[in-house]
Amino acid sequence: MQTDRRQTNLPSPRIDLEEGSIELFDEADPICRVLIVDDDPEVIIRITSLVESGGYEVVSARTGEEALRVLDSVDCQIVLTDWHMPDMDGLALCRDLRLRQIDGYIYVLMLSVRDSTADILAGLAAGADDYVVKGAPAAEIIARLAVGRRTTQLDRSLRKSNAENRRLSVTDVLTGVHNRRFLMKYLPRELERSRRYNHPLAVISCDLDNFKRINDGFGHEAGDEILQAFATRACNATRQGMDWVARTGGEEFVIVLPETNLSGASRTADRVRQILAVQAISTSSGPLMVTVSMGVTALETAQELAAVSAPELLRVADRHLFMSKQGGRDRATVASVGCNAELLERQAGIHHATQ
Amino acid sequence: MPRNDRSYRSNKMITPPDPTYSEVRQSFVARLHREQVQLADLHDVLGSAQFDPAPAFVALETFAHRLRGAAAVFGLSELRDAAKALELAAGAAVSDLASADEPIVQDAIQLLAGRLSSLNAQPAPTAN
Repeated sequence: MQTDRRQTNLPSPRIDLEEGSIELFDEADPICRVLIVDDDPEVIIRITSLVESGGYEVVSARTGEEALRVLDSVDCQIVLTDWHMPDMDGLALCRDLRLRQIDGYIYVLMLSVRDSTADILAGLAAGADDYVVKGAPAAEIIARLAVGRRTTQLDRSLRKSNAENRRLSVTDVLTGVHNRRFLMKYLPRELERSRRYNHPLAVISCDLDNFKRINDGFGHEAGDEILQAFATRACNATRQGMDWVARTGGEEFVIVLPETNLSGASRTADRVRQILAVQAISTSSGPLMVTVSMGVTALETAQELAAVSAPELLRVADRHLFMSKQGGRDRATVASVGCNAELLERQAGIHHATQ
Repeated sequence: MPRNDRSYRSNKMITPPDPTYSEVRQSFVARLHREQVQLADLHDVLGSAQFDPAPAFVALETFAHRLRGAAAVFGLSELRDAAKALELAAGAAVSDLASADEPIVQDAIQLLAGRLSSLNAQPAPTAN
């Protein structure tokens, strides 16, 4: 039995959010890992024991270069580094870390026997967040590590919050599918990708039939439930991780089908209509049957891909949707963009006389 | 931020309850024998470098710096201070183009050698 369990319409894995995809920090597992960098093995052993006693996981490196290699493969939140080391010293390591594009802030605590004010300033200027002189009490080192831990946890929290805000900015809050902003931003990118690889691209413009009447007759709560159910069913009828759905208006949706020709898009449209037809939608006002009108179109040839922009593609789909409405609703009008000769001829610079 | 008065730098390293600490410390103390030998070797190299002692001074400076840091971590403050004195003397000798028999450097070497010898002579050295 089809369930209208709401699901989040995740973007295609090929599409990154504006700032790049970001792994959300799992607050249930706040591991804090410390990288200890020192060229003296006995010092590493001693400091490791101390740091582990503070509840941290520890990895170590004997040189600055080795430290960078470790950081490339191991997620560390804090670096506790000596100053003088062969090849790359602690200052160079700090500077290199600050120049790198790393996901998540790395807190650097310099641990050196150099203790003059000039040394401390040099360490901080190179990018260290704190500076401790070797020989400081163990409790002080642990306390300063705790500062680093708090700082990195705050960074994680902020990044998670930013990622959530970015997600919400492109997501329709009611249905969980993408919103119009996402469609207008990413449909052009899908089109560009289709052009690059000469793959077809199809869109389906959907409009729920008689939705205003449903809202007026059964209440807005029932209307919302219908929208949510349609979004879920449309997502279930499409390919996970490839196709995506956007809500563009009150009861309007667009389904984007990369690498899909007109015949494939037509089948998808039929699937969506069938899913609506076989089962009523459970609402707070009782089960309701809902139909949808759709306009289906596709760019299939290199000529079509080159000639048509994303907004024009949507306009063609909308024209087909209009034809479905005019034709009695609860149907899909399927036609290629190639039927729109004006679009293609514009590229060749030929103007048709209007009929 | 570290305080400028440096007063927190106690001579005592507060040792947390740690079953491995004594083992590591014993391992470090055992290493002091090798450090004493290495210091003697570096002293010999310096003695033979009458015309260009700079590389020997640099080697002494590096040696002393490393020993200074390790001594600090293990709470051997007198050793730390002696190593610091040699590090600073050797570094100054490089800058000043001093001769191999520069008295300040020789004195610092003797001081550090004395500290190492004293520690190596003790059956169970403790942090002071």
